[in-house]
Amino acid sequence: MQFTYEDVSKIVKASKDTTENNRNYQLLYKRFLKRMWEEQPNHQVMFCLAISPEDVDALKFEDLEDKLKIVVSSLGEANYLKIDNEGNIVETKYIEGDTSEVKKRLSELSARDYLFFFGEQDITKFINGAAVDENNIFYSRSDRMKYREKKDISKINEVMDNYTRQHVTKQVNYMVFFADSPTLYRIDPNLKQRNILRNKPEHYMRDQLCDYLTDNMKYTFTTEPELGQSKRELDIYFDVSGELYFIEVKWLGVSLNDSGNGLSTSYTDARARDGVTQTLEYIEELMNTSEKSLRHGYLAIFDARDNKSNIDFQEYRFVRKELETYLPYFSVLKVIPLEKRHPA
Amino acid sequence: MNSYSDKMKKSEDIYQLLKKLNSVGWKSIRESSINRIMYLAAVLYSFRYPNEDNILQSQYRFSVTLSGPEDAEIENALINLQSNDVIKQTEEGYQICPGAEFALTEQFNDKKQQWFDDIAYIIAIYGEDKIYDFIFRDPEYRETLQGNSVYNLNIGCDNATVKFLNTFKDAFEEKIQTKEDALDNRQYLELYFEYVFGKILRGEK
Repeated sequence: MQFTYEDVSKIVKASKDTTENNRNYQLLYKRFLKRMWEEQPNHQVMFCLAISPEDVDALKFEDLEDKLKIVVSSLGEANYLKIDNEGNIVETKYIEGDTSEVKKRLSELSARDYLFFFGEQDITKFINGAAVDENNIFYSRSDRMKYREKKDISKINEVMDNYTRQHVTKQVNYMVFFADSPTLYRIDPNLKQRNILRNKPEHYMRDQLCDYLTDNMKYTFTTEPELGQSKRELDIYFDVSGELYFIEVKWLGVSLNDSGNGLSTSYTDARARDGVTQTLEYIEELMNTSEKSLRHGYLAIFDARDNKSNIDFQEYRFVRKELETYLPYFSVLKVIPLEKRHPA
Repeated sequence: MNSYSDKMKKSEDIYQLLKKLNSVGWKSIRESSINRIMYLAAVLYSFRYPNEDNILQSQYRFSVTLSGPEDAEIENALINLQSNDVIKQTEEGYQICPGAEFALTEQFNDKKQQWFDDIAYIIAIYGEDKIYDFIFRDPEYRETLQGNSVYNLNIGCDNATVKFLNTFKDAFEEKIQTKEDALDNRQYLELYFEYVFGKILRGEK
């Protein structure tokens, strides 16, 4: 852990600043206003929120979130809204001009009140007559913007769709799952043309999917070795606001055997149906033990069969009666077809 | 401490924590989040107050589960609070029932009051959706996961998180111009959370 002199000097300066040390101000800005900005569907609608220092000191946060929603719904008529310590609108006006004219006017107004300009890229704070730079040494605006672009749980199917169509179709990404050509050639030269997976490809599949989800979604994705639980190796776990989710990974097709001198059993769609049962059994186990926070379990299927037909889930008729209660907490993610397009 | 007394003290702690979170705009909280916040309160205490006994250490014992750190008695305390209509359960988690109160003594421990204030403030800035991300990157939590024995988290003054925080503080103070520029431990804690938040934003583990 290292700091530079410059970083330390910035932090020391900030530590002596009154608004940096004002907890109410920091809570208002970081908890409420930043979220308000992030939830705006359209950042082209720019506006300013004002609040007096006295009202900041007397802020009541209990109902502030609901009051700020009313502020957002009032943006049709004004682009400058002043609130009191409870979040009630006490003054509105419309400031004319382009962005730089508006910002000049805001500098004047901020001699008296704290101002927050909700701009296209971010919120600009105005304090004592001047715009204040965001001064964080641990992350940049670009880090925050990239994080905002990451998807939440409601978009998991879209993320899996992108993984399937764009990521795993690139040779550099799919080749890690397949057996190398020299080994295949030694067993049988004709095998090079087929989708033969490496021995035990499932850990690579789990890890690649885990990394992809980490890069594209807002959560921390973890796997068994990191969790230190000797439970199930092929699961990816993540938490969404205090609720547990997991993804079980299965593959169809054929791989090299453990000795590397032949092929393993060929796994067909029966394995996909087994995967459904096993995932439901795990959901049952988790929900009936200490993991009351379990929200959903997914099954991810990598399909490396040479002849890919639609997997027949038989409308889950094969699921035992006692597991049917858990079906609402379960779904199969879009199947991930694996195709070795460039046999080397 | 007998289990009834333990459950009552934890009930009071949870009620006070929920009150603090309410006052910073947080209306409801899930059981897993309550466990995680209590764990953070326990594991960080000795850094915040290095020359004092950890007031939470004798009361809490956290082990590692799939959802993160958990003290088994917290569940009993929540049932106790719920059955006495102090809290209720909603889709979003537990909430204090309107007008409800819970007090074991006339005055809740001052030190805990102040500490829960500090913790609620820090956590409120980042929100419930980030608590797990902080736990996952907590040094004591990570070190315990890598150990082979039963997963009991060390919340004593020599835990891995306190050690890391002291390293963090030393690294900062190496570069200050004068002693007066040193921050207090509360400020170091807030800075540390910003540092970890940067890692969360970039998806770093």
